Amino acid sequence: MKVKSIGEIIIDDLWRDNPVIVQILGICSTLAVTNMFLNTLIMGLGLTFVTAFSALVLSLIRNIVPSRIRMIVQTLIISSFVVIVDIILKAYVPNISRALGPYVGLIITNCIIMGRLEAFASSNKPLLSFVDGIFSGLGYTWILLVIAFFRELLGFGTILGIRVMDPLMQWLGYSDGWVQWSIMIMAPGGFFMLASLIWILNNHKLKQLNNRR
Amino acid sequence: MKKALYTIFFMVAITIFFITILAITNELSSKKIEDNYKIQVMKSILYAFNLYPVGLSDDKIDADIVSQDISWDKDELFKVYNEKIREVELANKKIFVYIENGKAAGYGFYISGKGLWGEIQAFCAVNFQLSHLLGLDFLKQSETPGLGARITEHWFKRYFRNLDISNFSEKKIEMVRKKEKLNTEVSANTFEAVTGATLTSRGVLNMLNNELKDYLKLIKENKGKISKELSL
Amino acid sequence: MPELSPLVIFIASIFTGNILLVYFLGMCSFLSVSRQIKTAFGLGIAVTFVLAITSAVNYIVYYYILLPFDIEYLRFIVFIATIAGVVQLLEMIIERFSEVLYINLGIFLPLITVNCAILGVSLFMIIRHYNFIQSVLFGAGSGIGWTLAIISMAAIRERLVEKKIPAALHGPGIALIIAGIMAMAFIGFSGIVQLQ
Repeated sequence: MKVKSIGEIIIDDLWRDNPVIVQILGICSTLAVTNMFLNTLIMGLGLTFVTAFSALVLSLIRNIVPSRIRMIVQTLIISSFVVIVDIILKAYVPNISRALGPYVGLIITNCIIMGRLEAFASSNKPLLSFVDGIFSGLGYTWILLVIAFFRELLGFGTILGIRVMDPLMQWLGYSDGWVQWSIMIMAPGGFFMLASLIWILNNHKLKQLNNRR
Repeated sequence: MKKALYTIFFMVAITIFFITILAITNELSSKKIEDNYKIQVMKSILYAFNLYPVGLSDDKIDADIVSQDISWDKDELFKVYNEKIREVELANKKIFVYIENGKAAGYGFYISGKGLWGEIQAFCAVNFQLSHLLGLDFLKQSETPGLGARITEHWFKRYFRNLDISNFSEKKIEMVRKKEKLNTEVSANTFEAVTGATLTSRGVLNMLNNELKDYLKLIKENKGKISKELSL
Repeated sequence: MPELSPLVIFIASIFTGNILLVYFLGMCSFLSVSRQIKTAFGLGIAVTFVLAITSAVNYIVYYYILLPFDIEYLRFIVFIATIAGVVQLLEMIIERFSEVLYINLGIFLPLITVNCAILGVSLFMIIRHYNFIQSVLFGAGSGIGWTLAIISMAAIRERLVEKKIPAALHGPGIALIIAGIMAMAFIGFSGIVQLQ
């Protein structure tokens, strides 16, 4: 198997082989978290951190892990990391811990982390695995931020908590202001937004393929 | 055989390794976490009694702020708490008493109920006459962030300030879709639900209606006893 | 502990409290392994098996080991270790008895370990203070509910194969739209049966 260069890893993780829109991983949290931009940012950074360092640790010990128990070892690494991060946050930055709290379980079970450890870190060198971890996390984060931006805007009428739609509607002359699209706050909104995003991005990819022919 | 032995050895070794790291991390931070929690509870209780640090009040803070983020100077927090809040025990339950000018001005207690995802724990404060709520704050909840979790935001909890419970046995608290005025302007027995989080809001409603009756009765019957115990 | 009949919990967790369509746990494999009814069914049975066993084991571990020894903070790790162990066992069984299923499931077999539905069920049963029987039936019911949902999705997708869909929506795109519509339908069920 040809070893990927760092550049290739970055492009694959962010775009060509994006964990969310191409590999369809990490969906549970995509639905739960993206109704608010800020929560998505916190979740994304938390996930990126855990993926990167779990990949690093697994890659370092990949040659001494018996293959029969590799899944248990992977989950041990991931969940230990998450719990340690959670404890440290609770002690030293409790308000961030409170924001991240409900997502701790969602990070441990995020298929992306397990998926990357299985597919990459278990058979690649530490540095490459670390990079793959970071950019898989970032690949996930940027897609979610796009979704969250629209869900918060249409669902709550705000961007990062600042009321935007209401004043906009008032300015455009609608005296009633903005009515929330409640469906955007709830899970089906997440499904539809993600579907729309995939539609747009896949269209773009197909055009690129057609142009090359 | 050798392979199986190695597998077992490795499993045990790595498990011990990680659990040790976790145990150490936990030990080192548990005191800090406990202290943080104590401060959190104090902030909650003061918020429920509508007590603020100097310069702040209900209308001056952000609508979506949670009580833990209200900026109390640590010394001021302890000073105000120790001055104004006392604790007594009645029928195995903790009752908090808010003291103003040497007299009981309000009572508070913990209540809990069921939300959508799990248990909701709250602190409820009532005025001396037991006719209105002074306020409410949430200590523990695991509701959906952005939806049910919005019950912890100030704008929602404001609806509980001065909520009318004077005729509680006949007229329980009710939940409405839209409330024009806060209870501090026109007092009623209603609060506004969180849009898109009906189940969580209903969880709060049921929690209050189920738990208030016993506490109100308990305090009413023991007012004299409480004053005596606290030398008021 | 809630005064709920275990049978009510069982039925409710299949329909009105469906772990996938109401609580949105277990999405990843739901979207990716739902192209064919046969594979979907296989995965569903596997997930139900894992759910039933891990609910039972995690219950015992939590109430008889974690709580008494005051190491409750280890629950995430211990729960997921149990799940990983059961899945590893399952992988060996499937590899032995059905090569076809093993190949068709691919990476989604080990990914059952991180199926949020499984950890979610273990965490829920603790939060809702279920007793042992309630927990096991909750686990089994959630598994069956998850299976029903994934089979429904597969059935819909198999029928869509001949229909005209925009090229860019093939695969995950249309699956998400279907899932969104199914989710909207199930919102109507919420609150019908009190599960706690």
